[in-house]
Amino acid sequence: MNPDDNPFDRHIRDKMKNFTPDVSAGLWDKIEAGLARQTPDRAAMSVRRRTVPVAWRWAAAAALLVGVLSYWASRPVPVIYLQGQAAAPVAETDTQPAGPVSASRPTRPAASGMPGRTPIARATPRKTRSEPIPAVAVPIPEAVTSEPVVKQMSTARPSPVAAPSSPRATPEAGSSGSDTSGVPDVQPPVVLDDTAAEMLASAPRSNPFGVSQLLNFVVGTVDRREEKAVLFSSDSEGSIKIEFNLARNRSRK
Amino acid sequence: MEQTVALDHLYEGCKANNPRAQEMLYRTLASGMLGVCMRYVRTTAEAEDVLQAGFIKVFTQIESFRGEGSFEGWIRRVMINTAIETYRKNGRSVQVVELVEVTDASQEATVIDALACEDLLAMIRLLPDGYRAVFNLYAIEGYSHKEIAELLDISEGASKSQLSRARNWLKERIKQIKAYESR
Repeated sequence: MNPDDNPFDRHIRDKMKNFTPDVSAGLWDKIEAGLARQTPDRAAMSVRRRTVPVAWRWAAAAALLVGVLSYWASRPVPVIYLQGQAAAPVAETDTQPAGPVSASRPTRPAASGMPGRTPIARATPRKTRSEPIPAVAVPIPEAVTSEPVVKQMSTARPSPVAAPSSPRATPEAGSSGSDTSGVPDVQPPVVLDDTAAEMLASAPRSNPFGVSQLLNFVVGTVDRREEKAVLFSSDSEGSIKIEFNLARNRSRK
Repeated sequence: MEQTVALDHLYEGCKANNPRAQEMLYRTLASGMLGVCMRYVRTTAEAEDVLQAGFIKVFTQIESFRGEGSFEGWIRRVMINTAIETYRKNGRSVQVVELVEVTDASQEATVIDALACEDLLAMIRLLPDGYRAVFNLYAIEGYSHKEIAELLDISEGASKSQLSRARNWLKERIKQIKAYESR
């Protein structure tokens, strides 16, 4: 306080001492916004203060994780057949000369972009992968003729290894005549060539939650092309192999 | 006493950057500080701008409060300094009129009692910028002429002359009001 306190000043000071005008309602919000601009920590704190409690956030995260894992476990897997057209008329097979299976079997273009390899183990349904089909020809009864085979093949669930057009699959079909009565409801004959059979037999029983599968899933979420740039696979010993497809089927390391 | 304890508690919270403590401090002091700011500017909108900038300074520079004096007094000084900065930023300068001799008119302070706070504030806000700053700082806040001179970047003599002219200006207005009411 100044020593020469003027009475006029004192009167005004006393009068104004208790002057408390009303403040605008939204002023605090402006101050808070100004503080948030100056201090990012405060902005984060402000956001955190207005969000849901921690327990709810943990519960939501757990639910999200369960959902993602459930989707992963039951995700639709594209079926890739060893043969493109399963309903090829058997009559044609009758006219085809008997020869190596691989010569007459229509091969599907390699879907995985790996020439010389058919991604049987990787792209086939899980049930098929867990139980590899033995690499032997299934004998069929002599009563089976070409027509029932065609009918069954067109209506039956496509088998990843079905080979109805192979002459080796129905060696007696052509000579058994056209008697179609009494044909048992059996799956079409399956004949694999040696290469495919070996690959199928040696296909690892991959764990859907294996590291390579998870890595492939991550890559697949980013790379939507049919031919992925990077492909992970694991062998029976647990080693992970990484295959690069940088030039799209032209060069690989 | 109770408010002092509460303010000390809020100070600790504000020092820890606690948003709730900051809001509580604002709710406690905003009205009184707006009354301070309104004396330094002409409009309420300007006063609220000063109040907003002042509180942001309080919260962001709270470390500079060293506990010398009361926390509320420190906040008040922050508001006054912010008002002066705004006053300077707007390009206003204190009109310095050096007086050889300062003479006060007769004391007519009793007239003030008949005036309402709002009327008195309106008169103060009508003062020329230089007069208003010096009068507020000296007569109401209790600053010395030396402090005012440093704060406003003027000489002490200029501060004294501005104060004297502000007093005379106000007394003249009060006389006019009294004369108008007595008619």
